[in-house]
Amino acid sequence: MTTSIVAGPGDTWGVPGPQFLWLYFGLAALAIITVLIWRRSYTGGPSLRNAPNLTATQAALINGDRRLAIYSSLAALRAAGAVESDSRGTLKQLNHPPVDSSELDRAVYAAAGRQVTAVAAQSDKAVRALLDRTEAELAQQGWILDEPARRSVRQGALVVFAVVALGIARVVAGVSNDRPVTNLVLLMIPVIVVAFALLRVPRVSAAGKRQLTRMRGRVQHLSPRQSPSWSTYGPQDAALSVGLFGVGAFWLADPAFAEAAELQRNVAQTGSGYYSSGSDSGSSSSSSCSSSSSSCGGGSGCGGGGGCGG
Amino acid sequence: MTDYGVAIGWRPEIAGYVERLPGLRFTEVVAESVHPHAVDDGLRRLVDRGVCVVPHGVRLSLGGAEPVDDTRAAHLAQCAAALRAPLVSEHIAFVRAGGLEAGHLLPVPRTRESVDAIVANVRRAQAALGGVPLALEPIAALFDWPDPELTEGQFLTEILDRTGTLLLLDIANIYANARNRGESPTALLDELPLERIAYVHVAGGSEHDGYYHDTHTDATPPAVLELVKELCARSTPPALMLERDGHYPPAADLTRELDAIAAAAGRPPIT
Repeated sequence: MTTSIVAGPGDTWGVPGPQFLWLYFGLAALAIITVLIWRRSYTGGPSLRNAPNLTATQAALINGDRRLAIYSSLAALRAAGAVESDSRGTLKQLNHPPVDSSELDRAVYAAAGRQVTAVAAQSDKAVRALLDRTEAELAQQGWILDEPARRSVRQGALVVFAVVALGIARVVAGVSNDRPVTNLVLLMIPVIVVAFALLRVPRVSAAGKRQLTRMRGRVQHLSPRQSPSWSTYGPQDAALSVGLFGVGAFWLADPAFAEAAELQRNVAQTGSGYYSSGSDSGSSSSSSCSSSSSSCGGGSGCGGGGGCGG
Repeated sequence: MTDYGVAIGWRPEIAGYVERLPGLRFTEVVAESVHPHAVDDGLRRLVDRGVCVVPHGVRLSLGGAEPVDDTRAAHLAQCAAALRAPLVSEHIAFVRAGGLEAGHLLPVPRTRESVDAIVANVRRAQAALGGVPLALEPIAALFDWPDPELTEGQFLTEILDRTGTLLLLDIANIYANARNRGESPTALLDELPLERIAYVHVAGGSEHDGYYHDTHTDATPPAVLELVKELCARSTPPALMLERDGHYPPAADLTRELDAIAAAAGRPPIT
């Protein structure tokens, strides 16, 4: 018996199996490529060529979350000797922050005057308004994707799910028509995987990730691996160190305050230092910051610095 | 030797500050922190810029009773090759004995017997270094072993003469030793073979209970800067390097300190 590619009376929907497989393959590929190209317009982000450097607050919001932004401002304020924490984690004002402090530094300093904890500082009205505005700007510039944008991108996956639905309909029809469906099912598996993968939308655009990596490379001396001296580099670099490299920088530079103010250890941790290993044993509940956080630790690479001798 | 002028020791904590010094031509890195096959990017940039980066050993224990560890000496040589360093340096001290690590640089008794032991160790280290010149740094001592047979100057000169090594003079050590013994620092300076200086360490310290501690975590006191002036009136050291190992001050303070050393030494500022 020879397989005919001409439609026969027994063919499901009047299309022979092998021909449908090719059609289905072409349709799925077309749908996936179209969705990927369309997605890129959201997740690609701006060109880096003339992009200005990120501020510490911006870096923290892209690299981590609002907590990290607060921590980076606390780093600036600590390096300037402007705040302290009592043993219960309540912040207190000391000296005035320097004149070149960022808006967030000043807002956190003001919140410290109202005797809040580091956690509560995040819900301080002025702080929240400022973070809202900064996040909106970052989303508008394309460094991060806000919720509405992520929702639209997620909807793009529907096109591929439609292709999956077509395949299911064909399988059902084929089975009831007593025709073999194995090849079609095998072809559908990768399409289904891709459809689900397309439901995952990054919070940070590709350009945002690249910009973080680029800036980490430019300020390697602020990496926790080097145990950077905040007093030498000054408040703005201390804030940038925490913003770009995560809260680990804080625990190394000012452990007493980090402990007293109960800073979370695992916010946007990138490659931690020579010095830190073993300092926290059980407390870090691995990657609790969910799938959305950019876990890719740029600017690392082995070896280097560390281990200040005698 | 080339004149490198005023310098500051490279430490990871202040690497960004050191790298941005426009006039920097010389620095030193703690050898035990260098991975010869994965040199820190910042150090690499300095080497590529033509800055002389000298590996400074702290763990060789040249003053120890047992022979120096050849692998440690070989590491020093690998650091020199990786950093294209024209020389390396180590301390005349012991850091371990009988398998125990002191975690400190401990002074050596100034006897003929210990000169012989050190000379043997230095020669062994030189063999492992394969021709890279070695500079030796006498350490600051809060106490002296009893009954020294040699003065500090004789002790040092003999070691340097017999091994053909150079002198890494720590001017703050000279000040500390003289002060803690109630002697004149300039008299001690005059005893030393100043023509063999490879470079000079300048560092700060602080006073506790009548003793001066060479801490490297405080600013250089005026008395040490005065001694820098005395030294530079007697010789022209190829480099004068500020050695700061902790409690790093704001960049502006480091800059002031480097400028003060430059002024005392009569060299151009590097900031």
